[in-house]
Amino acid sequence: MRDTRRSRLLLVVLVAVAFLLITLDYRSDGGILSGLRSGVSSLAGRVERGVSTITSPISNALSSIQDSGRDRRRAEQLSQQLADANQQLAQLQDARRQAAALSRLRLVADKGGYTIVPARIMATDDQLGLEWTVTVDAGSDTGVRPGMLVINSDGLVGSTVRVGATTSVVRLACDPTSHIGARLEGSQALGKVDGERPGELLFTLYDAGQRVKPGDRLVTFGSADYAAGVPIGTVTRLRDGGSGLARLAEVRPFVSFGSVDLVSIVVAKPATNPGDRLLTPRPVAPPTPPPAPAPQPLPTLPTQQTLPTQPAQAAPAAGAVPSR
Amino acid sequence: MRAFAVVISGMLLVLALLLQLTLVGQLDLPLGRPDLVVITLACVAVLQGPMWGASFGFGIGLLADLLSDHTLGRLALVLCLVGYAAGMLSRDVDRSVLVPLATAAAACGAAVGMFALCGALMGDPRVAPDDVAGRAVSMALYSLVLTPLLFPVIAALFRRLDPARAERR
Repeated sequence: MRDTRRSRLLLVVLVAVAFLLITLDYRSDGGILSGLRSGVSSLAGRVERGVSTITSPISNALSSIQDSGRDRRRAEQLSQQLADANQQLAQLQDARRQAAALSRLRLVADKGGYTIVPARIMATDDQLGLEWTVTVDAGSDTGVRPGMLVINSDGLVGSTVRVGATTSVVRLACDPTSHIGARLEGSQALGKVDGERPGELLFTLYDAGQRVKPGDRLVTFGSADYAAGVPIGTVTRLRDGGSGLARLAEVRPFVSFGSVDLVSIVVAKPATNPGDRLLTPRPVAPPTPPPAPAPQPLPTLPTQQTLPTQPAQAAPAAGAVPSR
Repeated sequence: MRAFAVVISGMLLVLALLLQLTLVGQLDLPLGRPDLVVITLACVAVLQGPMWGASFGFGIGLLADLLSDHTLGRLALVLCLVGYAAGMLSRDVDRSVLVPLATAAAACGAAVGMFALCGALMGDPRVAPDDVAGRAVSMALYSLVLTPLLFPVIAALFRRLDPARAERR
């Protein structure tokens, strides 16, 4: 069975048939050839389906080996995208939170008529837990001077003590060396608020003839440096004063000093005292008297008190500039 | 015994075609794909001579044509010629193991080239010259891997079915 005349003849015949088929199929669009083709295809389809049920596990295994690298890359890509998206989401939430905090600050400032410089706390200088100061990112470049009140939307945060060009050190109101002039809501009863520890301030009422009771609220008194009317906190408990003349009360501040983030520094105070306007209205509030523009302590009616044993005495200082 | 060898050859080629369509054709291998049909045909032809090569090439080519959507007879023509040419080398098959290897590789390359040429002559838009060259080369390379596996099996089958003929060669 070599290259004989027979095999050559066979080749020629087969090639001729192939050409005939090609020509027929090329020229005609349907007819007997396409019928034959579809018949064979449907038959072969059945066989192929049978064969592929056997071979598909093999082909799947082979392609899974092939695809493992691609899948891993895809997984890495997707996890990277997820991390990016989560980061963006966190940034967005942070930005939204900041925007809300800023708008609350703005609202408070507008209500009080204060001119504010918003600032963010950069560092807490809590050394040995004895000092309650923080550093904020606003300084003399934006008009901050030492001795200005620092507030947030809840109320008093502290006051500036040292001011750099772009940063300031703020002593929180809870610092034991912080003393800020305060007065009781709805009256002119004057005193000072000293820091004790976070979550508790101490209010010293100068005029023992005035009444202070738990639930009373305090606002800053205002002075040459300090803005008036900033909410400080609520009196929680009366305390027997050791100094004798004055009256002491524990005050829970409105501000949670542990979670302060955005603050604003009151760089200019309004021409008129905002009074008690910044305090949130009480649910069933008795009509509060309109705020007095001139904050002068007027101990006119010393009512009879139960707690002190010493005779009532006038408040020691009238203008009560808070000592720092 | 001779008829038995014909049946076995036909079954081998049909099996190769089915495996090609269901398994190998779906693999996403680098460069291209091996073609089991051409390799099997080359093995059969190089063992049994040009008449077997031409007729089985025509037959399996026609079946593959019927299962595809290109012009009927294209693969039949190509595989008929490839099988015939591979069969011409059957006298040298015992000289070296490289003969079936080279035959299969050349058959793969020639089959792709001729099929593409055929398509180009008939204006098949799927034929792109650089693509064809790459596929011819990759198919030839894959045949170098698969032929050493397939050829001994097919050769052993024919030797068992037709010992006298194997002696004659």
